[in-house]
Amino acid sequence: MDILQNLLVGLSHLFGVIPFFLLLAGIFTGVIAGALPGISFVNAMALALPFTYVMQPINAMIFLSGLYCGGVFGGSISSILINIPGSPGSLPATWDGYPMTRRGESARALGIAITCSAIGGVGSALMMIFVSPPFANFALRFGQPEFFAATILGLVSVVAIAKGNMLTSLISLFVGLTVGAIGLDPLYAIPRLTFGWTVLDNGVSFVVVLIGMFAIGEVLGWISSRKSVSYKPTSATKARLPGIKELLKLKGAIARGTGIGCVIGAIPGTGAIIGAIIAYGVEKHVSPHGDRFGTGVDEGLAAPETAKNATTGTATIPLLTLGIPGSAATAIMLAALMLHGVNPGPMLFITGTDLVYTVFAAYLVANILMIAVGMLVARAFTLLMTIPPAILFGFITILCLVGAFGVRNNIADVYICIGFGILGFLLQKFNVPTAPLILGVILGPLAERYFLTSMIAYDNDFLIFFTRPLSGFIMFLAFAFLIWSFWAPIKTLTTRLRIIFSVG
Amino acid sequence: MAGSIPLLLFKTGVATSLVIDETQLGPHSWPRAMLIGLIGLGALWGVVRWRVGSSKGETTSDLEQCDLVKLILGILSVTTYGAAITLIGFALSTFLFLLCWFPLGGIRNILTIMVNSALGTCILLYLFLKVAYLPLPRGIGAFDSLTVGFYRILGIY
Repeated sequence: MDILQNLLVGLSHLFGVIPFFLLLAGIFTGVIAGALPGISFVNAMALALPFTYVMQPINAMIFLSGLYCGGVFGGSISSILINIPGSPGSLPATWDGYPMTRRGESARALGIAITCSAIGGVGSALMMIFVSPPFANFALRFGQPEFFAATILGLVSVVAIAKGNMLTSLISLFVGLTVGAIGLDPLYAIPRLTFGWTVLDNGVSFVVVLIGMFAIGEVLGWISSRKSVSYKPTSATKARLPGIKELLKLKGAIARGTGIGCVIGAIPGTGAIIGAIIAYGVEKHVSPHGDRFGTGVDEGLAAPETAKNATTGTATIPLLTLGIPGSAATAIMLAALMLHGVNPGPMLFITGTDLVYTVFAAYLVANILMIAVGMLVARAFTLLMTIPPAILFGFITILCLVGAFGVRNNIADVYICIGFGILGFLLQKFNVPTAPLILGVILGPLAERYFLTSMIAYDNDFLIFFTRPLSGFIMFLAFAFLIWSFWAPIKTLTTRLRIIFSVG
Repeated sequence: MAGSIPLLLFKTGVATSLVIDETQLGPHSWPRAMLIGLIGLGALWGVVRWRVGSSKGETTSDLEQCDLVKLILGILSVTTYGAAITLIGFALSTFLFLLCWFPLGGIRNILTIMVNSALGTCILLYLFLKVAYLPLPRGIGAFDSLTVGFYRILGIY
């Protein structure tokens, strides 16, 4: 009952003039940014961060929540209409959505994508609303060792799930952890890795790294590309929402997509793309039309679209309950909260109930409003695609550098942003994953603080992380993830050893 | 190579600052551990690359497919823009950046370049100064006066 009462209070805050306007503005910005190839919704969230400085914390979170929910969906518009995913999570939408467009069924494809995304998002929001409070209560039992173990789980799962070579993922992670260690020590205020430069005493802001690696890296990738791509859609961009009968035919795909998305979203380091791809793979095996997937099958579009938006709500659970972001998008929300002096974690559910439940309400309403916004943006998509990329990327560069400057009003952050932009571009070209680096920068300082305070509290007893039941269990999960990620090389090695010894 | 940079960082950035009591974890324990991890992984990567060799399975970069001239020009223009913001002010540096960026991005129409640069700069100034209240740099010396005068014309000040 408390949850429902608090949710009603949150809804009452949300339906004020300014908060509702900000929610709509966020959804529009997210859908448009997601729909435009080359700008992901994460870039848009990072670029929008300076504009949240002048807002109340609640309004800032409402805006970013709308941007997040809209942005995760937005990429599907370009996926379906022009076969180019606007954001990574919309890649599976090209597999069955674009073939539907080529058959002249773009309106139906867009309608399925919009409706299924909304259903997945609402399901995830409900999961977040009803799971977060009891989990936050449970998290009040967490001590520093448990928080350290949870951070380690986040770091390990990022590496386990990162694309590409495991070794390069680990190197990327450790680079991020090292960058995160730059600046004054959290306990003794001693400078580390600053080389005497006082500008580095406050460390390297992860927002600056995020903006640089994602946005500036993307800009450099575009300017140096030899290919000239035409982004104009060749068919109608109007969406037609599916009727009840059509939705009932897709109920299995929608249910499975929602379940998969909710589970995947809660795991740090995953996100919409993993949820969408897994949902597509599962649906292909389960659906009676699985052998026709890739030719424009409704279930092939419905499942990943549902899963994609179903990751949004549950991805926010670790952020709000533990203060640990599991993805770049929730990391930006963490930045927004910290900039406004709000510390996420289990205590937030006691001291900041209004903010928490307004965020819950924002997720719920955003996923419903996204239907109307998605249809409008789809119709205007042709117009959006006439903007020359040079103009778009020029303004994105300016927004990036101003966003970096605005974090601490320090021009050094602009240079750091450009530096990480060049690094991000090079890492992409050498197929080194960037997600572990970014999450290393974000989670590294947290992990260090929890580690050192645990050592102080428990007399330098390293085994405390394994002997305490809760942290021991979380460390076991982290270990299991690590073994799972190294399973293929371990299996290869044991097979080789078996051959060597059997031959010998 | 992969391990040499963190090794250099370790020698210059961490080990020389304080004498650490080895019975207690100090402020350099964590960065030291990260750098040791990075050195180790870099060395392992070097060993793996040496064993695999360049003939099979090596990850090739996509850098060869890039237009290196445009890449260098792009990096130079962004870096110069970043440096110019404090020297000549946000307004002038943004306008000049867009004037350089649009031709680099393939726009050739002079009118399009001029109008988009001027209009875009004005819109951004309103957004950042009047909506987001960001204290953007105004430049030094004469550029400061120039920027203030421009803000007054636009009605920002």
